[in-house]
Amino acid sequence: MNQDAGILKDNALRSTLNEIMPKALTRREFLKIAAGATAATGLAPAVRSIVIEPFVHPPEEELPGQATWYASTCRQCPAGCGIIVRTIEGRAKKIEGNPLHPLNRGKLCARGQAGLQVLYNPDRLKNAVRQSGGRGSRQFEPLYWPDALDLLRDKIAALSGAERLAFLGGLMPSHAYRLTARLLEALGAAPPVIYDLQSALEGRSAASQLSLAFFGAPDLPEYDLSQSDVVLSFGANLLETWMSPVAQSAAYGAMRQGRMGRRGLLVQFEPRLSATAASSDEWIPVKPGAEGFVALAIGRIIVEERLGHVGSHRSQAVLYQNVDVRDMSTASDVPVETLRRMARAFADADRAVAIPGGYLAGQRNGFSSMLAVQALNLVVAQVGRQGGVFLSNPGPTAALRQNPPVNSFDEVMDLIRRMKAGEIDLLLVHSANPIYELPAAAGFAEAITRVPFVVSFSPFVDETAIWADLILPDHTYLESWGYQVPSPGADRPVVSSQQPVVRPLYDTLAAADVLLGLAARLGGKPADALAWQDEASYLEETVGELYGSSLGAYDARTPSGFWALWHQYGGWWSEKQIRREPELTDVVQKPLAISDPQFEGDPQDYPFHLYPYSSITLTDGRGANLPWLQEAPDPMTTVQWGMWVEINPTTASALGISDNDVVQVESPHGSLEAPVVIYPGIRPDVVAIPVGQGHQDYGRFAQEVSGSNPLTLVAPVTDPGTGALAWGATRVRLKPTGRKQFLARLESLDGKGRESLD
Amino acid sequence: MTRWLTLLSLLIVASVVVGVILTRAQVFAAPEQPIAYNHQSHVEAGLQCLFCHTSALRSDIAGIPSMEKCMGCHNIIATDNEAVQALTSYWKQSQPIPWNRVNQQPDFVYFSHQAHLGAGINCETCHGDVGHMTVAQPVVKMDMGWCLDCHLKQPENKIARLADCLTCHK
Amino acid sequence: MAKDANHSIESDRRWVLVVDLDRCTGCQACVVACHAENNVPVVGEKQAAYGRWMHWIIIQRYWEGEYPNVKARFMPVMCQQCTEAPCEPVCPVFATYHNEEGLNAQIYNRCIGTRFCGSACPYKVRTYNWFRPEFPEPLTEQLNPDVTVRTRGIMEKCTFCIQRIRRTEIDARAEGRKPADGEIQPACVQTCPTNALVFGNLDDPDSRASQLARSHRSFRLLPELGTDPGVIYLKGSETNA
Repeated sequence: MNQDAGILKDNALRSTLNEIMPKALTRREFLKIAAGATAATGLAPAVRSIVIEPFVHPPEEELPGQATWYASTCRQCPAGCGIIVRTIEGRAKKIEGNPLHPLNRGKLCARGQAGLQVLYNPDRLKNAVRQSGGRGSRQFEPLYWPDALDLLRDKIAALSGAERLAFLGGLMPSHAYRLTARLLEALGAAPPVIYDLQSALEGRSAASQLSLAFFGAPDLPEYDLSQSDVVLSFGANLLETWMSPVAQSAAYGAMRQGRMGRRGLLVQFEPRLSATAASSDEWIPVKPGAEGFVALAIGRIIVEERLGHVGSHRSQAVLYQNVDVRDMSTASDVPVETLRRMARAFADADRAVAIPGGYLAGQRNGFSSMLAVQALNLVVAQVGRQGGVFLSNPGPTAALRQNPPVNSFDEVMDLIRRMKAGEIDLLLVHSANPIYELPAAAGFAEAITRVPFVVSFSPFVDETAIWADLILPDHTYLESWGYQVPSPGADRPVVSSQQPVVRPLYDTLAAADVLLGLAARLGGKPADALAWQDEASYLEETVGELYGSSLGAYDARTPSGFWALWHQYGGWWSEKQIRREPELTDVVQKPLAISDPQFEGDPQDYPFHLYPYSSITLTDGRGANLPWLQEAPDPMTTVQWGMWVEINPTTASALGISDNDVVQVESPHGSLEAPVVIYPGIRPDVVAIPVGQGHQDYGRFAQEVSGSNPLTLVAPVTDPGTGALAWGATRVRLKPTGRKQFLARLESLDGKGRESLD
Repeated sequence: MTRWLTLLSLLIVASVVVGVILTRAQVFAAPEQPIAYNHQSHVEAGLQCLFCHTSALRSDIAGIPSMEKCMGCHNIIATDNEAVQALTSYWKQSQPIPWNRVNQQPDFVYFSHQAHLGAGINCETCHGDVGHMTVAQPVVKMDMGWCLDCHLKQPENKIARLADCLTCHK
Repeated sequence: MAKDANHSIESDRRWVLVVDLDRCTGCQACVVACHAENNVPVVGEKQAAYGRWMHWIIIQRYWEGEYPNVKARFMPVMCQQCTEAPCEPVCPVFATYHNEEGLNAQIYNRCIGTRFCGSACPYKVRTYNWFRPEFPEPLTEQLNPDVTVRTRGIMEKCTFCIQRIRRTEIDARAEGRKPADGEIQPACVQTCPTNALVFGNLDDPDSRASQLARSHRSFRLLPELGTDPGVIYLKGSETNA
């Protein structure tokens, strides 16, 4: 460093220094002062004053310093796993799986583990608020709850007709749905419309309709993976986000190494190698939407060549009447030899099962594809057999659950249409974020401007709550009562209980209590229909219906004893395994349909298929406000705090793109920019984008991530067979922008042709 | 100049010595409490340590008795006493008494009352003759050296565990 | 301090973690559970991009092959609790040492942050607090009181959830018994949905961990370095017979 430069050139400073140190110090003097200064640090006081407060009234079950555990239900995804929460002196410290719960048996996934950050999130609403500066102003004025409820009552009373009231729900707990449906019915209003993105990406409503068509009941199938020897998974991301990932993962582990001398095989058919495919023995990159063709071909081969050991396939021949294996092979991009190999393995196995997954449901031919896959289970006689497919068995819990589980996208579009036409004067939104979760092209953002008054129950200010006039924040799930009938279920009837593990932190109110308070204020039929004092009494009465069942895992001598055990166990389930053997409808006596997939966008203009997939950490975006989940690396790309577009290496090199380049992704409906991840496990004609980022609201952790929501690209088209959103049916094109954005990856890009940070 | 500096250094050293003496004295001083609770009178009345500090036997922390426990007796006993009246006024307002902590370890130390009581150590060993104290005060600086003095005097077969850093450092 | 390849005779416990790679699906449940249990800080996108993330357990993902014959494999990696740990001799203040139950201990208040241990570790499983961790209120309520909240300048790593080991041992001793096999479960082991992680006492030949360690599928990471790790991996893609 240049000695002339630096602070001593500054004359003002120099004169100050001269005052303090009139002449240069000798070394001895310097050391004396230094020693003294060091010793002077010993003058700092060694005692601090800490206040400890005793309990005024000590809780009976607590021992200070020891943890108390409360059983409840996780609500981070639709699965409904049982949890136990460790609390110390009224603070929740750790969530674990409930070891007694038949669904997850003590295990819990990353999202469940992150639940504490929902409860203790710094961006929660602390009271009921009005958006006083108008929608989108982000100016909130707190309201007293009685005033808020009066306001809502007035709005309902002022409606010119009950058909002008609409309720849009998402991942509502079963009990809340029941109560809501009851209130709306008493008012003469339409039943709740239920839509949530995670369920759409998992194909829940499609799966339910498939069950109805194939098995004659809308209950979701339960696949007995732990006892299978060969599992053919068609687009089912069963180890990451599909249906009941914890239960399926536990079964997967047992399938692999839980049986001496026996190791099950997993084959994954999908266009992008998911973490499930990474765990599989073979990944087959099928052309998007052609998975059903693969299943048809396999079925045809088994029947035609009389493979396997279940006896005659004569009765199944009709199913494959119109199937030509070569055609199916060409249409799906899977060589005939591979199809044969799969058919042999599937048929020869002692116990095999085929699983129609979420990816299939997201295509426009989803229904027929899923039917074709499910038919394979019939061909190897695995319907209702160990290692095969069963139907979720609600048993005595059937009365407690919501039915139907999830509405079709068509019904959501109908609601949007009514909103746009000015037919809705009051919209209530609970546990849903439609502005974020619906394809932008569905037009919800425009439709909501036509609704004069919007109420949100969200505990966070999310993209939809910003468009609400009134926000009545619900408790977060760790502060809530309730129950959830898991769907798909376990190997026996089960319903999961929910109880607050801590006192509600803020002046929030349970949505069920809001509805009960509202009903009381409205009087008349609503008050009669919802005659309970509060949510807890409603629940106690409702679950009391299980008290009389002799199937239960525990015995109670009195109803209030049952209520106590219900909470201590974490729900009710049957003591013994009771699997329900499905019946088959006459759909198995007709040829299976062969319907081609259809895509939005001309292949010339839009050469790639877009695959927006649910992220194992962020789910459908609901996990984006939790720092633990944002920082947890994505299993396949190892990216933290980011979103990206995955491109096949050959495609990338043809386009002159490499890792971290920002590309514009454009569909016929929208466009976004995203950094690239070169992804070996994806078809050259497919690009994949994880769902979950691109939040404009929802709190600091969600908003500080630069990213986009791939739902802005998705075409609002449906599968005519199910009415479900065909989110996988959009084509896109890519354009390099010349810019770079470095993703926070766990792995280094060294040795992949470039350094990770320049 | 040099003299001035020497005097300054001596002054600093003297301050340090006085400061150390004063702070060590502070360690042994009883912190002021919002109510002048008298251990001696309660022990003379027949109370055992574990009657109030119940969780010491089964938990890491000994705990401070809840207001409910105090009022269990003081609803009717010694109600004319000034301290009891102060207690009652806290109770009536449902306010916990803000006691000042007497014994405290830093965050990186793990101490378990349960383990020590389980090993047969009684309260006076570490806390002194609390039965003859009025306001509770610390009798010894509970630093690591003091803990190790006792840990290293234990039977041979236990020393490996008791001298292991991980036993007390979390 | 003299050291031999085996730990002290006095203890009958040698804690090991068995990782079954045929079961691991890379789901990150262990990563989040570890953060929650051990007060591991979150550093944010910028610092994570610099490699200053603090995860005590990471799932390494390896690609094999080329499209369409692509495979991906997962390997969870955490502190290997090496018997011959390279990180121990290099610490100038003895903040890290090997305890008699096979754990590589890290004592936070002793650490002065020279980071020699992180350099010496061949598995690169030690993480350093470059900044003071932030827990915006009320996220402070989530902090586990059984684990020190570290500050800037301190090295940290997987401890096999020593707080759980210690707690179970104390509770068991209060009942006059030893902990049963499987009773002590670090956070990652407890939550792992596929049961890929097993924790146990290698000195007990009947423990599940010991049995799995004897499998023909077992191997250790970087054995040629002679670290003698306490983490045993089981190869994937093979039957267990």
